[in-house]
Amino acid sequence: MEKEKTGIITVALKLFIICFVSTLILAFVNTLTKDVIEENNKKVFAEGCEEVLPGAARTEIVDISEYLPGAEAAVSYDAENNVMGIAIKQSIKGYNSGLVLMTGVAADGKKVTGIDILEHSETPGLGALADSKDFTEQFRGKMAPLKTEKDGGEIVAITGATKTTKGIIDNGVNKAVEAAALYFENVDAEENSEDAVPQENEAAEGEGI
Amino acid sequence: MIAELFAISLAAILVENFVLVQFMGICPFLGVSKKVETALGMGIAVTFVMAISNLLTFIVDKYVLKAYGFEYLQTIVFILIIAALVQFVEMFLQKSLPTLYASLGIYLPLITTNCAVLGVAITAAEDSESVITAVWQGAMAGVGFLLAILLLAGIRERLDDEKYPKALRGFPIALITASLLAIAFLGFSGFTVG
Amino acid sequence: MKFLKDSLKRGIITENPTFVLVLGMCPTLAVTTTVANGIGMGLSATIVLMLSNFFISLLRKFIPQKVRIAAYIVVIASFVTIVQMLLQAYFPDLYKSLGIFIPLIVVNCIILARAEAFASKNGPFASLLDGLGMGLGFTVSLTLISAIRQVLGSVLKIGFFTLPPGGFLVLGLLLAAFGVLSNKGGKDK
Repeated sequence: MEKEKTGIITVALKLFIICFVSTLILAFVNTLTKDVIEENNKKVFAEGCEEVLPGAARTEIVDISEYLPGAEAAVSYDAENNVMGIAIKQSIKGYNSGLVLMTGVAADGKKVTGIDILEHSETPGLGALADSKDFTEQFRGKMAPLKTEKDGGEIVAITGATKTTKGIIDNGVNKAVEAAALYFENVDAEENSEDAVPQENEAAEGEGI
Repeated sequence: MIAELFAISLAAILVENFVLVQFMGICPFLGVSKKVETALGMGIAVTFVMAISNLLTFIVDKYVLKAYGFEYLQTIVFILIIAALVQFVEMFLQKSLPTLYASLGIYLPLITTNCAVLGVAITAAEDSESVITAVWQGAMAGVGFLLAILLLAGIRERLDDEKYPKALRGFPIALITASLLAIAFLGFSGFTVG
Repeated sequence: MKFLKDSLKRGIITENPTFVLVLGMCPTLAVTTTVANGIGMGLSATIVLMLSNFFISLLRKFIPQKVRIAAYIVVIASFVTIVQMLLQAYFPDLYKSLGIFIPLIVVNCIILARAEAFASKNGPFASLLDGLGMGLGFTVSLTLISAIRQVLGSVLKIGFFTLPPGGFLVLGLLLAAFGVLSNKGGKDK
């Protein structure tokens, strides 16, 4: 209890030392885990690409943020180097907080080749069912814009979670298809304007996954 | 903007009520809900702290932590900001509103460990686009907490006069009441705006 | 050895953080929809509890009385962040399903309560064991609750139990049961 009289400076200094040492340790652990975490995210992204656009020979990360802010995307190519389609990863607001959705769109910018739920902040219950294969499989090969069965479309909503389904369709899949269409349109336009320059070199830099 | 703020309010107070749907802030929700009066005081204090802490944490997160690549310090920085803020509110209440201070007693410092405060700060740092929506989200999450704790306190006050099995006295009956309230709040899940 | 046994008995039974002290209710309700999540959360909290108890006890002479709570919070938050980073790196699936409740371990009342009530007054080794006992008590409780909810909710398909109201109800009834049992136990002795 003699320490009660310790001056305010000593108190502040001690607290500062504790904070400083903590920060150092955290910075150290951060450098250890940063790469592994990055690697994990890449792996999840690659697996998502394979799920929604199966059979790609290689994929190439592209920037589509001007069409769909915050989204990440990769174009898939088949063995003959033809564009198969684009996989778009986006966060959407679902029933409770967020949900990360991957949508595959064919090169025509209309056909949905598949969807995959990468993450859902599980306030567990209804939303979680969106993850089931029965639900995601029915998106394969459907032409956008999609609708739920109730609204005269083809997608059967998750039982008891019509809102989640609508959220995934309206704020997710349909938006991704729109962005994909815009992307393919602009890429075509660019390629036509630069007809003389072959694109091979650029394409070769893509990451093989 | 107005529509967005309205959507946030609806989500934070009803659809995604922090206490009854997202399970945050359960300790004070159960601990300070025996009387309506203290529940009201606690709810207001929490709302106030949430709004201000969201203002501070959002700014620090966006312009310091994220800007300089210190995201991994988020938890530690946020909780320190909240702890300091609660200390400040405590000193303020002690001087200006001693009656309220006396009745909140032990639970005031516990706002620091009310996970809803840290929870809404982290949620807003990830989701919000501007300082305004972040502060609004904090304030509305607070109102959601206030609503939930007032409802529970109102019911618990009346339950005092009723007869029910002795084994359920205290926390068990509070939890069962909360369960019924949560069922009611599930009904709001149909509402979405925008 | 007797020390270890006492700590375990205290944490799991006589001062069980969930059923007796009624602390740390948020994760207890939020993550107990599947047994895997329950155990994952329990063990994460146990690790944080042991380490923070140990270091707070080591530093108990160094930490100034006036700002002890702030100092405890810094120590606890550091370990939580470390656990968070490790989970994200090596158990990404668990990290995703526990979500925001990992950083929220910081404000789990159990941890601060043990720091204040035990670690600040006892030696590092005893504090470590206390953390282990309390952490395991927490884990056992979470496992029990999540097992009940998963069996009723996912196996028997009564969706109610995976939803928030089901969580409140199961915990309420378990608390009542625990109360009755421990009362009887007391009388028998």
